[in-house]
Amino acid sequence: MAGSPIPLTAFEDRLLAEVPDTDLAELLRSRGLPGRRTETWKWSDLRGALRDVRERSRVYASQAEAPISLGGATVLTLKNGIPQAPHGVEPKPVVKGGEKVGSTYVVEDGLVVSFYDHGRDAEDETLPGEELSALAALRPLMSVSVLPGFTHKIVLRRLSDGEGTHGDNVFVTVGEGARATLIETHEITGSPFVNSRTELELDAKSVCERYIVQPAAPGAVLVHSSVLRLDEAKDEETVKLKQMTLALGAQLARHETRLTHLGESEAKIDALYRLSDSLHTDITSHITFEGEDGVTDQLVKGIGDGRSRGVFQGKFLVQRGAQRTDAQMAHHALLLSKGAQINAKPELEIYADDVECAHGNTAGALDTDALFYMRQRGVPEDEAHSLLIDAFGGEVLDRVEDETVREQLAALFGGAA
Amino acid sequence: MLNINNLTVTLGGNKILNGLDLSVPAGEVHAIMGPNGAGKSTLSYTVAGREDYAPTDGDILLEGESILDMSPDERAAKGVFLSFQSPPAIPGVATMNFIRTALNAQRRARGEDEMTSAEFLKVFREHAKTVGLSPEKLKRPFNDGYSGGEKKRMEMLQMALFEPRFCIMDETDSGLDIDALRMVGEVVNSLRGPDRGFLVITHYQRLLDYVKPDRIHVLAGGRIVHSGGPELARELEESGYEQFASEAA
Repeated sequence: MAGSPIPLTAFEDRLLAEVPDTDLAELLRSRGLPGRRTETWKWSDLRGALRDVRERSRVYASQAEAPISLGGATVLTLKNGIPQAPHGVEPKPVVKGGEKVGSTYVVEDGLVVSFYDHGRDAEDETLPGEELSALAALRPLMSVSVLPGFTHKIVLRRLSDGEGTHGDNVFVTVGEGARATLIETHEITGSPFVNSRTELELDAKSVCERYIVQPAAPGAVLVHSSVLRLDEAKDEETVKLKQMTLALGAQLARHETRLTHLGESEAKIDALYRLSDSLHTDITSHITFEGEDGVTDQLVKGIGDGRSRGVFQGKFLVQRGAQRTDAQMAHHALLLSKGAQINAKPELEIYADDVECAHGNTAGALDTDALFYMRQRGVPEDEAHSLLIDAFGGEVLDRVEDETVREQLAALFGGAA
Repeated sequence: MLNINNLTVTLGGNKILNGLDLSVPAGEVHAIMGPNGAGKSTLSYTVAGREDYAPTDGDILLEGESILDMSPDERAAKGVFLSFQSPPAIPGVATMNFIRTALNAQRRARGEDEMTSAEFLKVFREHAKTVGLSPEKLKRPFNDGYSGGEKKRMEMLQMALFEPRFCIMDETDSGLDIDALRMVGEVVNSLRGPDRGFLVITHYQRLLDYVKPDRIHVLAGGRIVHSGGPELARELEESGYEQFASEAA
């Protein structure tokens, strides 16, 4: 429900000019961007972080070295939100109603990438804070399709710089029986506001490993909304998704995952964050079990140092018909300094009666007994700290099956001290 | 070798060690016995350098040099080894990696060459066999899922491997069966030598059947109240600590 209008910030006025006169504009006008007064954003004050006017980002002009690589992968790049044409592939026009609406590239056998000039209205996304996801959905769409039965590895690099604002809108489908490894990076220099969106559809019998990698970006504000749909089982084969987010902080960064189990399917929705100085990371997930036999196993761990803030909000919503749901959520945080803060809100909302759901949440300091023990054995204090921190994060990293990816993630995590 | 003078330690407003004096010459094994709460574990933590057990008075000298200003890892590199009464589990830290890291950190601090993986593996396996820890157990994270007895075996494995100058064994015998006690005796006796000293903290005579002490001290009320030869252990077993209560007061 839209309340009485509030005084808009200069940046909200600027955003309003970008969106047509729709329900979304009305929402923005009535309550502004989400922030302290929005329940699901109360620990991530986006509105406060974006008071000043930001102009549309200029052309990307930096050089960035990829933080992670994947052998044999197709690399796709977005520069300040603008999709870059794949190298060496001729585009074909996409025509709708006699008009060209985009271009399509057959990058490899079974891998098709298309760019559309327009996005689409995301009418159903009017929950508090969902304005951002809906805003991103209006942007020109980049679609990536792994066709049924194919196996592909894709690295999607989002490169951002400057101090303006931009976003992107990526739609990935993994066709029936296909297998995909998808790495998405956020490589940000400068202090832009980046509003990214990934929609991921996993068709029956498909398998997907997804990694979101965000190295530290102290000046940036980043919101990455992911909307995931897992199809139900077919021929007794279930859809399997393994997602892992490594988030190393920004001025404000939110990685939000909204996942729906349409029926029997399996998901791992893990995350690891490590923050120093005054960096901020928000890991928010909302998992909906619509059909029977959905399985989610979630392990999120975080480390806060300096005056940083880590936020975890996890929700499992088990709908009435979603019998035999198996949903496990755990968040554990380690605080290395007195100034660091962790805010956590695990939630279960269950309307079915034959389910197994659990959540656990802890926050604490390094184990002083273990630390003294290691030092008594001769390990210097800094090294003992590192061993314990690596061990803490290692529990999440050990769940990554691909060894080369796991090693690269571990190096990024270890280097974030 | 180890000289403790007038050691005073206060924890939470209570004086736990109250001007303790103790001297363990090189080549000797001394045992400390005493009632619960006498300050035995405080003594071991203080010598090992745990920060929250810092003394308010007195000094600790290892081979004539004060170690009070040294960090726990510096003391370890100097050769102080504490076999913990309750060794912690350290989930996520691989056992062999941790012990090799510790061993090489000590060697680096002493200006010695680091041990290669192959060298380390060889001695590690030998000692693991001596203390009776299976290779399967050693593949687990450090002390993770170990029983009390297995944790004590792990302490003995490290003591044998590090070859420390001065060993403090804080109730290593608690929770051990006869076979494990015998193993502890074997490790200590194999390490005994003219350049090494031991301080064995225990409640019971039974460990001292395997590890023959040169001297036995009674710790009560935060001080050494009585010292004697090996025969003192049997006397204490028969008569208890009651007779020393008045001396401690």
